[in-house]
Amino acid sequence: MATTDQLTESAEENVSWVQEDWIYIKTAIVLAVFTAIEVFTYFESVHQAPEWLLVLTLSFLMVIKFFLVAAIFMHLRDDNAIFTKMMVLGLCIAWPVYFVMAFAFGFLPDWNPILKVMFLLVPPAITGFWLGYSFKGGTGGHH
Amino acid sequence: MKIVLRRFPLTETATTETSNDHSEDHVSTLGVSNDKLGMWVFLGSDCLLFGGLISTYMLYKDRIGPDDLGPEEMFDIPFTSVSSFVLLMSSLTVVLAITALRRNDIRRCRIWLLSTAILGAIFVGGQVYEFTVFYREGLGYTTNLFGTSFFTLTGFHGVHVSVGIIMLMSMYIQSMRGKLTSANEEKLEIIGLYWHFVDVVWIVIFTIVYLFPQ
Repeated sequence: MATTDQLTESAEENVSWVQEDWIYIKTAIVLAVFTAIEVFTYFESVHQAPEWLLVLTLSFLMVIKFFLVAAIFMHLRDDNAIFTKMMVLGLCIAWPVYFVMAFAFGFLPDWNPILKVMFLLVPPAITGFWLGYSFKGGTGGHH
Repeated sequence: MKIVLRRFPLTETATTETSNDHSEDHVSTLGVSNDKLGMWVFLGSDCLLFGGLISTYMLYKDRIGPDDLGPEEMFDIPFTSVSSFVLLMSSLTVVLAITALRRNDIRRCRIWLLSTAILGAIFVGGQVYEFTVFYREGLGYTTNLFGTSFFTLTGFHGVHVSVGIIMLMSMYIQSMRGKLTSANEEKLEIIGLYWHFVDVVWIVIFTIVYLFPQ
């Protein structure tokens, strides 16, 4: 027969599992809302907005969604920090390389060159700063 | 030598296990099993592949003939948005399957696994429907460079989803035969990683290919 302590422990365990599932459900709701905002930009009245504003908004939402799935659904936030850092470092390098090539071959031709340079450098600069700031060296300890 | 052992405490464990025991519990120095690390490496290489295909599409999307239909005329955004939503929700169901298995709730795990496979199948079905419509409207694989790069990119992603469905169904069958328990939960977690990656790639494809101003 189960003791009171065992029953309490089991109830606490159930609560903790429910809480863990709730985090995933909340994340899915946020992802759905972000997707709805993205799709909203397609409709005529919003689609008339300046191209740079649409591209920046969509890129921002895309990056947030990408990291939400990677951090919470793929459990990157619970794994060794080195995984997150390697992924972010790769993306910091890939972002300007892919877009330099795309711009060179005529992607978004109407953009101001200054805006293009900012689009290329600002996202990797911010994440690169965070990467360097959070790097402690040594064992690369767990979160 | 002492310093090495203190800084990488799992190295010693992993080496000992390799030499004495061939169990599946080998742990890398990063605190995850070698199987999981292998999946991360594979996903990294797949990222490069998709990066190449996405940038190829970006370069070739305007290479259409004067009488050909372009992306703006071809794409049905409301339809693709529903497909994207379905795939996004399948990421939730697979993670719920993993947590159910972790607490040894096999019945619920099966339900979520089957839901994920069904959602994946709906997504692939939607893609097949979209391809059929495009073909009927005159956009084939070799019609122009836009068609080739579009079908290669989205078709390759569709193949990834299909492979994921097969893996999920194999997990489902294993659970029916009593071979899937919380003890080997990592197997499902690794397949879950693959499934989330497929979702993450679609997040990028949906934004860049379908939603960016043409």
